[in-house]
Amino acid sequence: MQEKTVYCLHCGKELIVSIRAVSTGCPVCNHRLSVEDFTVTSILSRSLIETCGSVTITPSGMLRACLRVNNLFVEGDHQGNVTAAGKVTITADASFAGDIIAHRLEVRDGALVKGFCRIDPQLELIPTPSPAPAGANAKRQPAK
Amino acid sequence: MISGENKVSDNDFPTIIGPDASFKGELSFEKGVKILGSFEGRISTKGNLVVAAEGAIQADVEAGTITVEGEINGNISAGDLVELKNSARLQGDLRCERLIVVDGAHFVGHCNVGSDAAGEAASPKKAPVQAPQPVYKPPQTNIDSNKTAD
Repeated sequence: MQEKTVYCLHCGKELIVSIRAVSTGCPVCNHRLSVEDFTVTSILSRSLIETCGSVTITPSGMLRACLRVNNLFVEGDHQGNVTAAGKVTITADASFAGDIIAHRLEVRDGALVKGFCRIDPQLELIPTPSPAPAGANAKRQPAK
Repeated sequence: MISGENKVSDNDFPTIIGPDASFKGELSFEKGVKILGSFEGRISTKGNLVVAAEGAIQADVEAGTITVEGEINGNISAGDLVELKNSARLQGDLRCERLIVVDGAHFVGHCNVGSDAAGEAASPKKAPVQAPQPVYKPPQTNIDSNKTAD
């Protein structure tokens, strides 16, 4: 059985899954994770795409979505912010509009890029859980 | 100074700021400059700028072509090409017509790549021309009109 290594988007735990797996559960944080690889070949609009796998936008593909992925490979057109634990690649004829937060970035000559970039291999991408607001667990007192 | 890996032709880079040099101020040139040392201030040129791996500059840069192997703190603007090598560290906004980023480069800042961005970079921003404001003139009272007709 062929396997691949993915990282939990929520806690960063390294997980080994079958390449045929669609989703898995993180044994550490118990979040359900999509581990699919997506390929966008036509016009697609989504609010958020979250996967521990990769997203590829082919030259004919046009994606409007916020992405939280491992790797992103753009050959077509993308609009939306991207957070990538791995690498973002923008090829020569690609167009990208949005913010990029990633460990690695490759931009090839001819690509159009517009947005804020934070590219740092030591970047901490996993959000730290915010503490519960004060009194969130307190019992509600009846109004007098 | 120029030996081994740092081979450059004198025609390409007639100006070289050496690794032991530290320059502070405004630098403008025509052809090209290679910075191996440290620089602080402002760079303006139509030619090529190369920041070598050991070079570090803290400056706003306007140039034709910018190749970064070292560290830049400041906004950079190129009429043609910006190339960030794998050892590059750029902290600042970037505006150019063509961009090449090699895997491994560090970059934090806004990025605007394309012919429109290069056009804005080539022509400095002009202050918006304000339309002339109409001057308010208070109605003058005609003293003669107050005269009572006899």
